Amino acid sequence: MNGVSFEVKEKNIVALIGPNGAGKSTVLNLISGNLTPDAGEIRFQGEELTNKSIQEIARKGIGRSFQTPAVFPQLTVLENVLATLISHKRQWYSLFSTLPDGIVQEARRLLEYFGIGNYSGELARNLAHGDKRRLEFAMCLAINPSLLLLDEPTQGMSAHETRQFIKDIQELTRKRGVTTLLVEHDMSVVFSISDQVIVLNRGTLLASGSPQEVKANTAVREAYLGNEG
Amino acid sequence: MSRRDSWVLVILLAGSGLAGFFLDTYYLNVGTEVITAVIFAMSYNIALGYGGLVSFGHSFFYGLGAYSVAIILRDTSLGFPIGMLIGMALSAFFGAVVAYVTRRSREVYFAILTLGFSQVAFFIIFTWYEFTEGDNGIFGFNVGRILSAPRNFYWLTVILAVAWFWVLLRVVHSPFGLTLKAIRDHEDRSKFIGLYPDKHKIIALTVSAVGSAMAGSLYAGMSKLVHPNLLHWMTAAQPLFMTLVGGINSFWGPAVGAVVYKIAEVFLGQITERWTLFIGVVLLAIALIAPNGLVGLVRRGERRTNPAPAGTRGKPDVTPVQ
Repeated sequence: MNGVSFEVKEKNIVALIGPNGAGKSTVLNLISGNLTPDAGEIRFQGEELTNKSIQEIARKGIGRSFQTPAVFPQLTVLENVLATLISHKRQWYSLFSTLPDGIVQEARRLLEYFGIGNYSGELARNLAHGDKRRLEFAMCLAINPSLLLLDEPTQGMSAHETRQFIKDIQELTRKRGVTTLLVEHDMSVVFSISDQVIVLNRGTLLASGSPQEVKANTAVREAYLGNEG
Repeated sequence: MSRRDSWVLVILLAGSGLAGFFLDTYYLNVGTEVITAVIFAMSYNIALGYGGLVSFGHSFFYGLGAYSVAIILRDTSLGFPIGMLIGMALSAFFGAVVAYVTRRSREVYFAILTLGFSQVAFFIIFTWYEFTEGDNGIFGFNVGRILSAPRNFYWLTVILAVAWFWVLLRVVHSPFGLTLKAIRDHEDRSKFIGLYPDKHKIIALTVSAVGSAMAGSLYAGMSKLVHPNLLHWMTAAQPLFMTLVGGINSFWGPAVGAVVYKIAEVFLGQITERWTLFIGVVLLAIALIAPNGLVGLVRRGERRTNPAPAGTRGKPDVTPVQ
């Protein structure tokens, strides 16, 4: 990354777009603590996140999804969410106790919200791609996030699933006040839900603004969108 | 803990306990040896099956338990229970140390590091002649009037084994147990939900070490003989074999594997010196036909005779650890 600086306003949906190798996933990795920047700083709700561990950042309410859905494959769908809830409630150190009261119901509610409640007993590795993606979202929501970092969330989804995803994200923003920063290649998704679009190219910031402004930007059209975009 | 697991504990306690009334001295000692192997294998599987940690260091903890009993009984009047508790406490400490040192290592590097620890311990025991009597070993120590009777020692082993299995069941079904499995499945992903894999591994390996030490202590009390080979890497490989044969993805799998292994050792060993060939053949068969071990094979058969209801999506490639 070279001199990339941007701000994500609270309760906004911000899309990060750009050609392959632009640094989009790198930005998500830097924010989530998976990479440490050589220079610069990252601030979240007024607090500096730079050099904090992945776990510390997750505990501040920053949820992350990945290009390839990352779940716990040999755990059941329900156990995936339970493990996340247990960690969020800081109960992982309980060696001899049973699961905290209400946690199973909370996990089931999250699975129902994303329409995968029927698969709660299924091993996560056996889920179809779209269902794995929804399971990942359920795990993100289990940490009660203020910020969601979503890496190509609609990749591999059908048109129907993509429409449902758009509805879910908009509802999260409206009802729960969740801020979303998503990396996306599907421009129909980007321009339908984003409050702000940030364009990267080869590690530099090419443009930042409303969807209309970015669409009209000549440099962005040349580098990424094309003249039909 | 499921009702099935509770019944297994009850049946083990009752069945093994009752058997103690009818077995002669030879079979009481065989029974004790089999049960200590089961404790060893099931403790080991906390690290392997639940933690994803392939360790070649568990002979360190096993031997520590055995030598603690032997030395305490040889040099003091503290008695067998104290000797065993000291062995378990020492193993808890060294288990945490080994886990801390190896916390950033994964897979083959973790295995090699644990092998290093066990072989350093082997070397110390082998050469510290003044304290451990080196390759002569320590033998003939007195476990006390009551425990000298094979039947009493057998019952003590049964009670401790069932109690330990209850502890392990609580651990694996606890919030810690579930998050440990999550870390085993995808360590990097687990960090993004706020888990600290290092801490989990330290706790898992410590619990595993304590159980291994208990097994070593009971073995020493039964055989009244300890020797440096108890810390050799080949001893460390035994619970790995047992767990693979029985099934690493099942709580009771290592117990099944340990029984098969020990019965082969004791009974086939009387017929031929090449009893390990049988173990090798079984391991090959397991690897080729039943990667989930014998327990997985039984479960597969159960699913064939009682297929899942229509509408169930797919079937698991690997049975989840229960």
